[in-house]
Amino acid sequence: MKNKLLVLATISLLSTGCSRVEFIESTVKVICPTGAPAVAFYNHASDENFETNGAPANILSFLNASSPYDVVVIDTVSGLKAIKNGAPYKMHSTITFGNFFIASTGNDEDETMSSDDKIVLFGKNQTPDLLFHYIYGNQYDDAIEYVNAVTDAASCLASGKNVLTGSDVDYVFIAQPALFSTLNNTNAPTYGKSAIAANIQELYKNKTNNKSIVQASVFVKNGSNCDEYLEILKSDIETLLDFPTEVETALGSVDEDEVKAKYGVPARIMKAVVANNNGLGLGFKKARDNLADINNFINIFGLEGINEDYVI
Amino acid sequence: MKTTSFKDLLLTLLGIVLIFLIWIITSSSISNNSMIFPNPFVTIKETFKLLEKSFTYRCVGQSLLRTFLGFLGSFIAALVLGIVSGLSESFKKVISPLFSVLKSIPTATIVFLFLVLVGAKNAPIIMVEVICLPIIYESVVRGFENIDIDVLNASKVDGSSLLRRIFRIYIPLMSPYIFAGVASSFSLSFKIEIMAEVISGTTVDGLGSIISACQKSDPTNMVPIFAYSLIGIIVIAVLSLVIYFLEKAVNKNIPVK
Repeated sequence: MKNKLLVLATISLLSTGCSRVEFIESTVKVICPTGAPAVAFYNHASDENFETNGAPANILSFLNASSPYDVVVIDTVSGLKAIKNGAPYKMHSTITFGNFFIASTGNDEDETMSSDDKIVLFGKNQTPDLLFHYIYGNQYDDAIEYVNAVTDAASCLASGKNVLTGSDVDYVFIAQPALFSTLNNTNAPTYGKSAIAANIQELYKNKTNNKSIVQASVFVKNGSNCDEYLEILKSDIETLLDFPTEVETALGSVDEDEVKAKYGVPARIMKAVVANNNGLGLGFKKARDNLADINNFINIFGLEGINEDYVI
Repeated sequence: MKTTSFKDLLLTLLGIVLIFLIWIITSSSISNNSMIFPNPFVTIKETFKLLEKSFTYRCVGQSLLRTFLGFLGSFIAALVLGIVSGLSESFKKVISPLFSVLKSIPTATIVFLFLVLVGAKNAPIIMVEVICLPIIYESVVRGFENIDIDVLNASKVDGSSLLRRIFRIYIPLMSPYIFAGVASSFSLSFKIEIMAEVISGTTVDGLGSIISACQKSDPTNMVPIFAYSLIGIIVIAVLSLVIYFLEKAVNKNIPVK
């Protein structure tokens, strides 16, 4: 054991960063947030030109003229706001269409969300908050308690308590894949009791005459030619949706923690969540063909509708 | 020079046992502790699992490499600026507001500032550089101020060139102070590197990146986060030990005023 560790340590430290499995290597430079959108790039695990970042706000700072990235994947609203403020990019397509759910902790006896329940929402004044209010209006305002991030929401769902206030929680607004990890955490006090109570994507469709949430989109730098790259991306996403096991085939030979670091999600969870009714909301729709959905969505955020000048 | 006695060693071991006791008590006082504060036993078990993976060593290696690069940059800059400050009181006064700013600038600001300029991957290197620079600079200046004035005067009378005096006399005489600065800031710089990896959101191999990824991919399981942190602590302990022995070796036979 000792020798094995010693050999591993020496080899790895000396050849740090050298051993990689070969996948697609492209010349298009891409930056994408970890989580659901990154999963679409499952074939780019060792592509040096494909970078991910765990802080979406940091990605936003790359939407400028001196940015080295041909393609920036970011939430649709932030990307369009940046373009309105002069960022030299255009929206190409949307690749995630919502991964939001409301989960019950099992604390609510009648199992029906009402204004006397406690509901935890993450991201005050951000997408989850605005979507929740768009769908439900203000009827639950007295019941809402806010937490900062989806990771906090997951802790609330796992414990059945608000991690910030300690109060009991009945429902939690949460996103995949955090929902999957939490529901399957056998150590969680709510394990076996917690369950999905509502699918926000379906509720949004019902309210908007079958329109989609346009969550994360691909923005292409003016002058960059990424058509071929994005065609392959589209094909990769379609393959993944048809054959979720494809992600394990592509990433199976890479260490689980390495996949976790680059994508924010381990391969086995990617597969499980995609296989479960496309829980990550992956897809591919060209912005040019989806202007009505985009405008409906960004109006919720108080953003004026866009025309064809904003898309490529 | 004081030598490490058996008693010192015993006291250190007692301190380590105390840490584990506090850890066990804290952990067992929290229900569902793996979600919030895992106990040392599951953490150590997970640490051994991680130590069997080459990815873990790549993360440690890359974080160390970036720490070293940032540290080297700050060391060279601090040495040059510190010696010039030692030679010229006016330069020292001119440069002191800059170092006051560097010392007080919020660390997160440095990351955001350099994120766009050098990219998320390299921002932690700059952060280490900027934070360590004032610490090492002060050590160099203090070292210069503590060189015996007679030695300084004698070296000038000797007629040797400035460069020769710097490398043959000033730096060797300043080395105990420089090493003190290095010792106090290198471990710190490794911690800064890990924190900067988390703030910059970079997903390149690194301890900070993987700790952040573990928290995001399964926020209800703190065990891997604790295990990676334990590896970080071990690395810092080993580094501190190496620096301690180096410092001892260098200080041997060098007179300090």
